[in-house]
Amino acid sequence: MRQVRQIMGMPITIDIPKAESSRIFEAVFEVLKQIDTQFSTYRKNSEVCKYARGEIKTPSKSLAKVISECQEAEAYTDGYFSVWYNNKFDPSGYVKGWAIAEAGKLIEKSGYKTYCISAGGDILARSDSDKVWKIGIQDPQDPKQILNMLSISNGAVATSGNYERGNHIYNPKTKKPATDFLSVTVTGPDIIKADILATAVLAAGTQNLDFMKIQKDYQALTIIHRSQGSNR
Amino acid sequence: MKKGVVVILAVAIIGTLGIYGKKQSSTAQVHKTTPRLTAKPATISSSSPTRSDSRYKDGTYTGALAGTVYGPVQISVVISGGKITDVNFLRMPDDLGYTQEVTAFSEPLLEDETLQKQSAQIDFVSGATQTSEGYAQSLQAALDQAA
Repeated sequence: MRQVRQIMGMPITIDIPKAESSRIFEAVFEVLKQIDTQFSTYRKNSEVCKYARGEIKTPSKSLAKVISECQEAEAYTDGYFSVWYNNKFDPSGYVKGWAIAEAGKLIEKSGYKTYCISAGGDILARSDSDKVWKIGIQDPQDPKQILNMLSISNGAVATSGNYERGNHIYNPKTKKPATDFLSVTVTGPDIIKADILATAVLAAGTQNLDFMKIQKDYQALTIIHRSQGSNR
Repeated sequence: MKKGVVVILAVAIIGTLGIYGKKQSSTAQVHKTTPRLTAKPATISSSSPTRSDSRYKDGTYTGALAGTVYGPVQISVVISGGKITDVNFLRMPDDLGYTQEVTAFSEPLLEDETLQKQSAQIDFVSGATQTSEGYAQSLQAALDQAA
């Protein structure tokens, strides 16, 4: 069974082959809505917005955890993943992957070990059967085309890019839009980390990827527009 | 800029290089500037989950030059301990508008025809933040409806 909802401003698709009723989907979408209420930067009264305005002295346990994970992510990406930009706090880049992971935990707790979740183009695939999930990589310049296909039994795929309207990633060090890569796709065991690395690689550009090269379990595919020329 | 199916160049699974396809008119060199590719992480399966790497004898294998959609490609693969430990692209094709840089990505390059056949089987599409606004026109929406 597969269901889609628009939550957190993006389409979230959940596929659980063995599900026989909507119940598990409703439960998962409910969790995602709660995460949105707490973490949305578009809801003025979300905990994240209050925290960003300095109205909260002690963040909730979950927000505190997100903050600390973001600090760690900033460290292992050499600063290219940062939720503090222009003195603004926006953990959306972390929350997306985290929300997917939370959704996955609930699905597994409910007894389903074969499932796939896509949220805004980031994907978590799990299988303890012979099901192999086929994940296409979107062509940065044609949303109806895919460039290649991955076959994943257990793993995460996260793609970041500057090609969707309104989605601009900046190099936090130069403060300029990151334009080296048209898109970056990272695969690996954990969706949160894959998401962080995809964002960081895009932001860092071609010259600053030492932090990615040492990530043994994660792989990155980067796509550059030819007209940008050789940049080695 | 020219449109067309752009295929990600990737590490080939040894044995078959997984590289086929028809030639296109543009061929040029793409420089691989990234360091050697690492072996596939264990959590991401190949499309033949029952295949085991251990049937491959240790050594260095160089594939025949094969035509791809974007030009000739040759890959050299090193097997050590029955596993892929190193892959080198000896020549990489140019493409219709993208330079594809692979830091480490281990899925076989699919020929145009195979890609089209296989794309009929895809479950999900990964792309940069796909928004609610764009969803209705998206490939993911088509897949969701067909599911």
